[in-house]
Parts: sequence; structure tokens; C-alpha cells
Amino acid sequence: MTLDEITKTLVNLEADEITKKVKAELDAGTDPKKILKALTDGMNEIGELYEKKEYYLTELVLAGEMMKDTLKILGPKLKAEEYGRKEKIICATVRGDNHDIGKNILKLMLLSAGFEVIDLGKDCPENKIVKAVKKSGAKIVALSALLTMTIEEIAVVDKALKDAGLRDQVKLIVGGAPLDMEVAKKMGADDYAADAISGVRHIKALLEM
Amino acid sequence: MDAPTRVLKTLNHEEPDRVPAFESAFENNTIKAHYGMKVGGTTLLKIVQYLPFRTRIVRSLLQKRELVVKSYLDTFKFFRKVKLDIGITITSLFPKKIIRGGFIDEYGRIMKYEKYKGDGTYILGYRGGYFKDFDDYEQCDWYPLDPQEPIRFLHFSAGKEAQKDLNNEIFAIPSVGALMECTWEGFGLENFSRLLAHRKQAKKVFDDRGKFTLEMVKILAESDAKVVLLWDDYGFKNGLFMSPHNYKTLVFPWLKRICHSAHKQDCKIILHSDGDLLEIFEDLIECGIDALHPIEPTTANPEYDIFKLHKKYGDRLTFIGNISPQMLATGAISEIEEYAKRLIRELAPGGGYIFSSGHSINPAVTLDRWQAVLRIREKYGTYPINIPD
Repeated sequence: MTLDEITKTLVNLEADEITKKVKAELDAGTDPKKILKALTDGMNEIGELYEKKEYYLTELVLAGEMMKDTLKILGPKLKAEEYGRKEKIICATVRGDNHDIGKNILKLMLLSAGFEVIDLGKDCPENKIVKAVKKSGAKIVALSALLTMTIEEIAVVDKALKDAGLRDQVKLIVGGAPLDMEVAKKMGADDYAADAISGVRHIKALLEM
Repeated sequence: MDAPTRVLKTLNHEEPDRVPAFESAFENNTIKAHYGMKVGGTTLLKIVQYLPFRTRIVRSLLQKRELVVKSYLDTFKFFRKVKLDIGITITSLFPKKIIRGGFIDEYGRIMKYEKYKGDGTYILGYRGGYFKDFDDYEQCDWYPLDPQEPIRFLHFSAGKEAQKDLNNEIFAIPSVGALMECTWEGFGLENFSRLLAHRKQAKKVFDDRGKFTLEMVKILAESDAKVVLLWDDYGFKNGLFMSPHNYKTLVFPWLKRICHSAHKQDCKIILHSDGDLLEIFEDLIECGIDALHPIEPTTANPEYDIFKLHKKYGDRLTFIGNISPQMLATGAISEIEEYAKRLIRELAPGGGYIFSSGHSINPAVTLDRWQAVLRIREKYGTYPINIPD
């Protein structure tokens, strides 16, 4: 078996096979870092297939789930410096919004892309976000707002970060059904992404990676 | 002209007296209170959720005919005041387990109430799936769902009674949860995506849903329902939940049978599906749906545009929609008026158009903006349509 096969198994969404193959590679003594690279290559390909509309949301989510399964095996074998790029991303749904599907998909994609994700969950008050930024030094806060009546909470977070003197250190990116770039900017966000895949791309751009 | 005639003429692409109007949900205490509707919230649920036998209590209340009729009557009276023509009744989606703050419905969807801090409106929202996997689903003690369960027909007939009490000024349309939305939500997106990787299992679940929905529609159509609404989101802001192939093989064969079965009894099918459906739009028409709601205006696809779609498919489909809820919450009054006028001017001539928001009336919609819509409907919504550019 080759590392290409790991990539292929992920891209082909062979959900029952992926962990077996990763285990077999580890047992064969392959460097876990190389296995992670093969998986990340697979996720990048899946992202491209999603953007080309060859894969759809359920395929994207399944790939994220498969990645999650493999990271359970792979994670303990990787040294901390190899596991992730160190960049920390704070994810949350805004206060008053309990719809976390979009946020969870973004989290899956960010983890798959090697980021460390600080998930503050749903219905998250601005002071919790400020606290997390202070504590973690994260440079990105990614907020999700699905309900029309909660989008103004983005402006509340923007203000809270400003009041705490943290706004210059952190970029605010948002997503959610009622939003577009115009509304996002109006609410004080730096960027908007229409879906999780473009969210990861935008986050990389904001970090100038 | 009464509301059923107005709506049916429209669905038959004929011009009634005025453009009918519809909202799939009206969750806005401010507007309701303004029009004199009593707004309280969920006091009963707050108490019941802590009681033993809570599920039995709620199920029993949902089957008390006089309470059900009164509940529909109150809602329909409000709809009459705000000049809506359609009132939806439910024949599935009933609670199976009462939990803290909400319930698990018969499709396995965990639903909870949340309070909007602005005006205290309670909104019922989806919070996740009850089924972990296929085995969990197969072992569920309330499956298979029974289309003959008395609660279903009771709600249908209670709606008809409320309609009659209001001299047909509101058209009570029964609704059924259908295939896709109820299936993925019952599992949650992650578990559902895993289920789809196992084709036979996924097909079994979709077939269960299909059989139930088909039987429900048959029962309703044979009981003289002239229209049935199917709840079934196929898409979201960025496109479809699953591939067109999956829809074509798992969902549409059933949708086609459902529409065919309804049409045999002279019953129309309205499909409610959020999201950008452009990739499967022709398939939906081929399946035989008569109307589509709400043609969401806030998708990321500029081609998913009600005016463009109407030009192409207006002779084969009734369009129901699509003023943006975002616009109704924060837009300029002049912008709302112009858009409402455009909808009527371009879509209503010849019938085949029902006025509606592009999703529902949520608590962020303001009274003045809602009234702006109402003004335009009243001023320009009478046939023959004549609105200067």
C-alpha cells in the first residue's frame, strides 16, 4: 500500500476503509507526518471537487468525518509541532443563534487543513470571545449567524474587541444564510465567506499564508 | 371570491380577483400584537416539560379537537387581518418525546424553542438529530410511522373546520414532512452523510419516508384536500445538500409518485424547499410539483432569481415568494415597495404567482416594513394587474 492509496481512499469517500488503511500504514512504520500529509492532500482535492460541484455538502461532511476518524488514530502519534500549523482559529455562533451546522462544517474543514480550532460553541456572548482571543492569541475569529435577527451580534463582537483593544490584532470573518459581503462589512467584519471551503481559503488569505 | 377559489385559480394559472398571499411561518410577536393577536409564548410547554408523563400529556392535548380547532382558528383570524389567504395545518411532524425546552418529533428531529430577546417571540428551531446511525433508526420504537394515526386526520379536519368558521376567507392547506429534510435532520448532517455512504441503508430510510409521505398525500387527496404542501428543503445558501444523482435516485422517484397520486384526485402539490435549487429545477417540474415556495432570494447564486426562473418556467409552475426577510428587517421602505411591485408586475399577470416572503416572517421583520408590503399588495394586487414601471 502507498500513501497515494490513503489519499485516494479519502477522495473516493470509502468511509469503512480509511481508518483500516491508516492503521496499516502506521503498523508498517510509515512516518505519521507523511500519512497526515496524504490525508491533507485528499482533503484539498475534496475541496476542489466541492467547488467544481462534483461533490456536494454531504460528501464534504463525510470527508470531514473520515478525517476526524483518522485523526483519532494519528493524533497521538504526532508530535505537537507536527500536528497543525499552530495558527489558532476561534469559531462560534453569535449570541442568540443556536444553529451550529455551518460552524461545525467550518471547524471540520479547518481541522482537516491543519489549524487548531478553539470552538466556543453556539449562542456565544461577546465577552467569551474577547476572553478567548486574549487567552489564545488567535488572529482569526470566525462567526456564524444563521438568523436574520442575530446578525447584529457581529457588530457587538466587533465593538467588544475594539473596547478590549484587541481589534487590530484579530481578523473577523463571518458566514451564514442572511449574510453577504456588504452586510458583513456593515456589521464590522473584515471578511465574509459563503461556505466552509471558501472560509478556509479566506482565512488563509487573511493570515497571508 | 373566497380564498380556496383564489388560490386554486392561481395554481391553475388563471387570474383570480387578487394575488393571493401566504406565509409559511409567522413568528413575530410585535406584528401579531399590533393586529390584536394574543401573544403569550410557551407557558404550557414550560410547565409540561417538567411533569411525569409529559409526552402523553402533550400528545393528548394535540388530539383534543376543540383545542386544535381553536388554535387554528386564532391563527387563521390573524392571517385574515393581515390579508393572507392560506393557513397551514400539520399532519406529521408531531412530537414523540418531550424534552427540556422542546421535543423530538416523529422524524427524530430535536426541536427546541428559543426566545428572541427583542420582543419575546418564541421560535421553534432545529437543534440536531436523534438517530446516531441506521441501527439506531431501525430500532426506534415508534417506527414505521402510521399514516392512519388519528391525530393526522384530526388536524386536517380541524383546519377545514376553522376554514369553514371563517367563511372560506382562509384556505386551510394540510402539510406533510417529506423525504429529504426530515431524513437528514433526523440523523443530523454528520450521521446522515455517513448513512449516505451505505447505499442500501440510505435507500431503506428514504423508501420508508417515501412510502409514508405517499400514503399521507393519498389519504388527504381522497379526503378532498385540494392542495397539499410538502416540507422538504433540498438546498441551502450555496446549493444542494446532496448530489443531483442522489436526489434523482433516492428522492425524485417518490416525489413523482406523490405528485401523480395527488393529481389523480385533482389535488395540487406545493413544495416548500429553501436554498439554491437551480441544478434540479427542471427535475422538480418533471416530478409534477405545481408550485414552489419560497425561491429564497438570499442564496449565493445570482442565477437563482425568481424573475429569470419565471421567464423560463412560469407556464409550468406557480411561484410563491420571494421578498427577502433581510430586506423586511433592515431594508429601506422604498426598496421594499419597489421589489413588491416588481414581483406583482412581472409574475402575477395570468395567474401562477402567490405573494410571500422569501422564507418566513421572523421576529426581526419590523411592523412598518410589513405594512409597506401590505400596502403594495392592497394597492396593486388586484386583477387585472396594472403597475407602471
